[in-house]
Amino acid sequence: MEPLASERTPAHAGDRKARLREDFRQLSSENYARCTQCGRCTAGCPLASDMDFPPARVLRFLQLDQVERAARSLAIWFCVSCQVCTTRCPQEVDIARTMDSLRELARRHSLEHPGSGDILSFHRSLLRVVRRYGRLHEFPLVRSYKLRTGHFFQDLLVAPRLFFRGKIRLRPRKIAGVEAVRRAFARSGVPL
Amino acid sequence: MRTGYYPGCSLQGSAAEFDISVRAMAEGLGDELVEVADWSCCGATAAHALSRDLGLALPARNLALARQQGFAEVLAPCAACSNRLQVTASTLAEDARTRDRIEDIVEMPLGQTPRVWNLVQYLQAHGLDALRERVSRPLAGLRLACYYGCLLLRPEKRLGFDDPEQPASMEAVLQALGAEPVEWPLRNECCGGGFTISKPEAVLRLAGALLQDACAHGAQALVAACPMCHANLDMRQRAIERALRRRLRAPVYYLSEVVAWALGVPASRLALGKHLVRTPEPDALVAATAGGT
Amino acid sequence: MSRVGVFLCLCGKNIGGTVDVTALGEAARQMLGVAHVEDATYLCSHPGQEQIREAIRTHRLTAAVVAACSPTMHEATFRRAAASVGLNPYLVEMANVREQCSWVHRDVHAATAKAIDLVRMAAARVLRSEPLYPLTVPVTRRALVIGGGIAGMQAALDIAANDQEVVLVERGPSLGGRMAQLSETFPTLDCSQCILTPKTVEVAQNEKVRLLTCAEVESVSGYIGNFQVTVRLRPRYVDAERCTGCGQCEADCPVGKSGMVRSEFEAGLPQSHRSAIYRLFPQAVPNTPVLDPETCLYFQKGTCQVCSRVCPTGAINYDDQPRTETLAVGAIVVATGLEPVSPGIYGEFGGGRYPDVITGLQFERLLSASGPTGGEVRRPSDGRVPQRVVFVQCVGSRDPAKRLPHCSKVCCMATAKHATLYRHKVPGGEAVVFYTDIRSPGKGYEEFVRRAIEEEGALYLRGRVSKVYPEGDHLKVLGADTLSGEPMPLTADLVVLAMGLVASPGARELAQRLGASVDEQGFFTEAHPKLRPLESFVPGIFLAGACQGPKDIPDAVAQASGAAAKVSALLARSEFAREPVIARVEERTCTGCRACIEACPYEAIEEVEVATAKGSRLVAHVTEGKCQGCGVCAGVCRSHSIDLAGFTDQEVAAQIAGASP
Repeated sequence: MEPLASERTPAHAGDRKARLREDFRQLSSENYARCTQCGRCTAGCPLASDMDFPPARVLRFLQLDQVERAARSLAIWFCVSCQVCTTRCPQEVDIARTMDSLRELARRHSLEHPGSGDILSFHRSLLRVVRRYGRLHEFPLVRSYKLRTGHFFQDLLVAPRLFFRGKIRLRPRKIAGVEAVRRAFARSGVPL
Repeated sequence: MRTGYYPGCSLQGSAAEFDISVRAMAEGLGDELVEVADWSCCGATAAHALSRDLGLALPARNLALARQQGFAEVLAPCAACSNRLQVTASTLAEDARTRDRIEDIVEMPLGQTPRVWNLVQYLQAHGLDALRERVSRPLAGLRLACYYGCLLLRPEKRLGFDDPEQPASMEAVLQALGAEPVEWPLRNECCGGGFTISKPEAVLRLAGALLQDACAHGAQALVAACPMCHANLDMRQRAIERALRRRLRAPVYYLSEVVAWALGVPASRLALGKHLVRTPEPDALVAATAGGT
Repeated sequence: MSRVGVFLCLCGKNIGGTVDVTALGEAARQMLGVAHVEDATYLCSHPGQEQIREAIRTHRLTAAVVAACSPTMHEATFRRAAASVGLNPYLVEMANVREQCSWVHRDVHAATAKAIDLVRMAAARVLRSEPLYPLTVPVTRRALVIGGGIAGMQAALDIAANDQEVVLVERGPSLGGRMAQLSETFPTLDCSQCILTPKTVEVAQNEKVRLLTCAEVESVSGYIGNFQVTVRLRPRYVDAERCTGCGQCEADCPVGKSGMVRSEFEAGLPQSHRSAIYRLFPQAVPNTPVLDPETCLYFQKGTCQVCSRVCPTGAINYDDQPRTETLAVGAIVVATGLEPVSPGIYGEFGGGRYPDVITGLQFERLLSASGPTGGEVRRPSDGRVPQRVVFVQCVGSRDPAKRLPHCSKVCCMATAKHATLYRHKVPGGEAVVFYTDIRSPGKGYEEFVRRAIEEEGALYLRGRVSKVYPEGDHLKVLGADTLSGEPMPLTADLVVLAMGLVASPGARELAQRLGASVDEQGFFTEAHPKLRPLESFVPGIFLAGACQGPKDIPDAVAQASGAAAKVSALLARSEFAREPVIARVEERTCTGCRACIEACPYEAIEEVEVATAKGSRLVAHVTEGKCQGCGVCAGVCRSHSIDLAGFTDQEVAAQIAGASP
């Protein structure tokens, strides 16, 4: 088990740990000592059975100052932001926001779990389309996603049904204020 | 009444029928919906999932635009949009430092923002009694399962809308229309949300459980107020049937569709045909039960 | 002519190490009114006190200043020493040069200067002190116990055993409280009724105990030793003198046969029902039924009256009226107990609407041989015997999100008991317990829980449950096991929620009537959480049992006996002495403005009429027994007409002036 204090870690590892800790604290000001590890979040999480570590365990890593372990987990990517955990936590810890913060931290420090590929690609594709047009359009989203992930044949049968019901616009247009939207993206510093 | 309207990206694309039915419903209520000019994407889940600031900035721009354009209230029928807009408004109202930072990012003042309504709140604002009086085609005993999903109800602290565990606001609307909402315990559980493309097996499992639970409790159809949920329950229903090896054929209405229909809007204006699961007009469903059971 | 003696204590090195006592003594000799100064290493010791006594006698001292530790330590010691040689104890003033000086400063020079200031202030004050004499307050030698559960009964019996009168007021129709609802008690698995009924019978038969049931305390006035309590008695509609307890009325009541009214005693279980005229449970004491006008057909619709027709002794009296009675008592014991939190606030568990999701108390009723299922564990929905029961702990406890942050102390044991008894009754059944921690601190408690796990085979999973909902014929329980790090969704036939415990309904209102305080959950606040757990903030009002906080039966009984001992000590004499530090009104200058009356937190001041040359006027009057000497009245009085003995304006002003000559 990793030592709780960074005294016995090699200097560079200690720096890295401290950096991650600091960065994470900037993103999340929750007091994780409030978590009693009761497991209610795990119990109600719809994706817990798919995760490598259930939500309570990810919070345990934060309590043990193992921020990197938490940020490298697959769990944070499988979180669907349903907010059941936050709603039912008896200690009022905002677990859903913690997942957001860990994702942002993972992106900043390139710690994304290899299994996060599809989900991360989807988020990135969506945001790129929004940055390009100011709004989301399904066709470029799906095209971008398929190109990134290689899932060319996914939903191939559904697409025509959608198209013929007028649900897919092949030529999306940009909004007038698209530059303002692009500036917002740039200023938020999100790597896409 | 003149209400600001924020359709959101889905209503312009894959959830076109939601947009059509919302506008028809508003007309039926004698209300004028004025689209917020040049609105942009609220960021949905992806924005806040990857960046706290972007997750606040994208909705904030729209709140600022709406205020600039003089709207006191804005209807956002998509539950994800209304959730992001309301959570953002609440977050910025209580945290001045964050508000300052986001103001810099969107280059617009964020002091006072208009009130954002989800679809149910919009109907509540009209008054359920007023709604009941305008009903020309009551939904006569139609057994409907109201599906809330996640984003209408949670996080409770910021939304302050309905009981997150035993919600009843949508049922009250349907009762005003003459329907018989069924009670079913999974109506506030997640459908799999944004994983419909990137992790579809989760959606099949979760949305599948929802459809089965609704049917087990005697529902003839479901009613949703979120295009993501609707897609998972409607667009994915055939795949769910294959995975479960079970025939469900459960139509999924948008709340605005049933309200508009009950107000007398002709079905030809409602685009029920855009659903992937065959969705008859509500009276056809009632007739089906009367005949069978 | 004042002759003040100043006694300086070195307290070993405690004071002497930081304060230059020699310099202090020299400065003291110069102070106004000081006739004699001496020091000692330990003034509180026997030789030290003897030194003080000798000095008072020899030097004919008229007052004393003791520069030493805090008054909370030894003021009483030094006052007693002075009194023993004829010096009024209230002419002894302490200057705290230890806790407030030598213990908190390091600089000898500054500490000594401060000590000199403190001694000068004390000397200036004591020059203006007057002798005070203890007050005596008469005591009504009768106790009131509010609540007829195990704690209330124990307290009543113990007080009665000291040959003192007790009135026991119970809100319900019968003694027994929560314990009567239990099936068996942990850790011995004694039958609860079997160990309870000897107490209830004893209380009913004890000549010193007057039992009032269907009774509630309506108002309380007065003070320790002298309370006036108004009790409101609800009509029972049955003449206790004539009733033989035959039970015919209960059996023949059509409301009972209709099954329309759920029994409160059965904790609202759907299988339970009672008649409109009923006894709470078969062994109820008194064994007289009570008629509930809300559910009685005669009272609601003017029909029926079957009970009066079948009663062999004509004991039914529909014209019974509520009445009030005023009692004079010297001490009050609050023993109003607790109630479980309603599952209605947990929508995720069905909010109390799923028939097969029940509370721990309801499960007790299923287990109980006198319960609605005759002691068989059966599902409320269909009467089938459940093959897997899931017990959920910490529902309504340890939940700050629901404003119920406290641990309810007994649920871990109660759940282990439930799991054990279920396994005894349904040997093939599975018992699963979702817990957060196991709290089993009592004697034999840990062993009891281990037996449940190791021998009875209950499966303990560490995780709080997120949601319970019906699925087909069964229930789905979404739990977790944090020890293995897995979500743990289970199917159950019956779910038992260990509900958190809060004070009985009406506790807050009763506290207001008594002038006592309660916390957020309604539990009565004790005078000191560590050292005075049996007393409320109101002198003369004591606390016993779970009304002070969730606890098990042994603790409730022990606390009740303790409270009874304090009551008996109070009632043992016909009067008792108390500190004379109380407010005094100068009637001649009092304008009757009532500011002091409004300000007094103890309701110790009232308006009285005094005769004047022109007729009469109203002035303030302090009730000596109630005044606690807080001094607020003296602070608000605009005409300086009320002052605190021992802390008069003159004394305090002199003390302040003494700080900077």
